[in-house]
Amino acid sequence: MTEATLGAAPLTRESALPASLEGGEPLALSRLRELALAAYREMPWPSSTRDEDWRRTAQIDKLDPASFSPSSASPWLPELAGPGPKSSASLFTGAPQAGVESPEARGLRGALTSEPDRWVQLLGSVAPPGLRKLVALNTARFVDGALVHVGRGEQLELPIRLVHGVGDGEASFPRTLIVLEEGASATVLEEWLSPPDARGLLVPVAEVIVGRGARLTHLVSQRLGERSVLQSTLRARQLEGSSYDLSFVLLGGSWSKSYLEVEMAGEGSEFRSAGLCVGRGSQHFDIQTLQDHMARGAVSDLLYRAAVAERARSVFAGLIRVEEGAQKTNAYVQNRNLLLSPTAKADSNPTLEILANDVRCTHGTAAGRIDEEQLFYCQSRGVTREEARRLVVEGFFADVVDHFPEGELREAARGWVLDALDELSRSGALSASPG
Amino acid sequence: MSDLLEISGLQVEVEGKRILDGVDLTVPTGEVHALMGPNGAGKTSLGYAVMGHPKYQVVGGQILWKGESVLGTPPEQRARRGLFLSLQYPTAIPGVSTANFLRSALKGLGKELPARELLKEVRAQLSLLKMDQAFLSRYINDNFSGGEKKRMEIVQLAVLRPEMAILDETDSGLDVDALRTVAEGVNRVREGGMGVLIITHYQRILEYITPDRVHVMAAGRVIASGGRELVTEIERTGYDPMLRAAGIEEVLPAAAVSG
Ligand SMILES: Nc1ncnc2c1ncn2[C@@H]1O[C@H](COP(=O)(O)OP(=O)(O)OP(=O)(O)O)[C@@H](O)[C@H]1O
Ligand SMILES: [Mg+2]
Repeated sequence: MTEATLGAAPLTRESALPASLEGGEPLALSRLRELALAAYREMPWPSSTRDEDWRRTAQIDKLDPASFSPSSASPWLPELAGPGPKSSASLFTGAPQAGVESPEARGLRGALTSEPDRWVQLLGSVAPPGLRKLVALNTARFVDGALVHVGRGEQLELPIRLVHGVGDGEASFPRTLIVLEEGASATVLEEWLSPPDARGLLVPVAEVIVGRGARLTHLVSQRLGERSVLQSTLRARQLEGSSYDLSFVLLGGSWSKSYLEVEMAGEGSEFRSAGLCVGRGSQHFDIQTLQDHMARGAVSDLLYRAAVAERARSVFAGLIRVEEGAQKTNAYVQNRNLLLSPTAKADSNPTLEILANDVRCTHGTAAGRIDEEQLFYCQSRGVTREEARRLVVEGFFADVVDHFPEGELREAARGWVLDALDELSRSGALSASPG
Repeated sequence: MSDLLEISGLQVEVEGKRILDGVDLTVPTGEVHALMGPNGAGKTSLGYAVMGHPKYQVVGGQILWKGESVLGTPPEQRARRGLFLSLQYPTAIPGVSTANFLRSALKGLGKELPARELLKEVRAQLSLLKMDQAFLSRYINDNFSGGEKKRMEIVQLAVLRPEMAILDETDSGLDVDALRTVAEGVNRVREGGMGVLIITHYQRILEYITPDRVHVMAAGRVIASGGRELVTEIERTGYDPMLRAAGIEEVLPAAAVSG
């Protein structure tokens, strides 16, 4: 059955035609696609009235994948992404010729077609198709992406850069697989982009396996154009004694739902994460995190700060789950929100689900406005009110920025945040009187 | 003779409550005036009103600086015109380093310095104020001790170099050595001709920074002005005789609040 004979949209809410890799689909992958397709058909489209996950993001009720055409080429992506920090490899999904591969970082399509036995089995091993509807869709539809594989004990100095994007009227399903073998260490920058005016749907799925004693530093930067929609899943599994450091910067899109999920599957593993969001206009950011403690003595710590202006809205749900037997767990989740206008909104819902008895878990949440005394203090020293507001917002993000990977990546990420704050100033969103 | 701060008949309200009730006070540039008075007299409020704190609404009277009214102008404009207010309780801004804060302030004042010169200048002032260089990258006033906050105000004064400084109880909470350090800091900036209105409860700082005139506030207005002898008189007798002479019965701060 080809798309032509079916004569229907390749994607609908009910069903999807599975994609197949250019240059030949390995048999194992076809089987995975079939499973994914079955899962996709079986699961209902998410609903803001029925699904707890979607209660505050009713945009999902109106999203129709049929209104986007699946795309596999994004020749414009490298130019949109810009030069980026110095890296050992850079991959652009949909524009492979522009990238620079390395033994550790390759296009996913190439890796799957040349070594199917090795890599196909890992797809869906962390984020199985049945995890949720849009993961099933990505699994059925991805045509490329990135594979990062760092061998046993290998230490990569320079970061690996992965860029995914979506164009106007298109839907794109990039897939990333990051595998660090025992004792390996690497830094990965992952960017999600779309052109400023593009109305696209980006559905990336990234699966991460951090092997025993391995160390992964991961920076995710979401800078979609303001008319695009993002449905992302990033799910990691950490083995014994591994450490995973995740920073995330959410700046773009008209609306987005981002799942960040980590399985603390190995004893004594460590997860440190900090992220931020800057929203304006009618932007809507929904982020849902999971710190799943399955093994003893693991530490996880997640901090998320959102500053929302105008009518923008931030939705955060952060779950710490401590499974039976995961004694000596240390887990923290914290969300702080800064409301920059009376019409901006932030919902915050950190929760604990604890089935072990010898654990330390805390969660915190706060929402506030810019303090008038802070503004006066800045102003009395000569700083304009608008600049003062900007300064205070910058300060609000300081501990997240400090968490970004040191060096060029931090400077790049700081630059994206400062650009977003400039944009707030330019649009007048910062000069609005406090609510 | 226009280089002066001239406050006349100033009436100020906070949320509809009268706080200042006809303050008259003039400080020529280059002179040092002390402002004393019991708790709740309105001294801090006067500083806020001069600097343009939005909560302190001027409902009557005038504030002239160099012959021009500052009323209706935002605080940053008053700062740009040369006014500075050292706060009784300096505000912390978490996440904003001292260096970054001062960079923004200098930029706002139109006195931008190249990054290296700025750092050099702040470092120099930190050591003059006997503060650790680590304060450069610490978040401004965040988790500073009381005395550290006061010293940081003087570091800023020295970097920003205003023409007129209102120092609101900059001496409170300082140990004896710090008091001298801070006073010397103020005096160094004064060499450039800066005027000072120093709000204090204690004689001690005035031994280092000697006032040309002394004013006493109570119940939201200035009830006495005179030379240095006023300070010794207050030390000896307290405020009661002056209050009685001004027809103010209660010494309670509540007396400052009418309506
Ligand atoms: N923001 C405010 N809201 C309500 N009341 C205020 C406010 N600011 C000042 N007041 C009141 O105005 C009066 C004067 O206060 P102010 O702080 O100016 O006194 P002060 O002379 O500086 O006192 P102290 O010597 O204790 O510092 C006090 O009764 C105080 O409670
Ligand atoms: Mg006071």
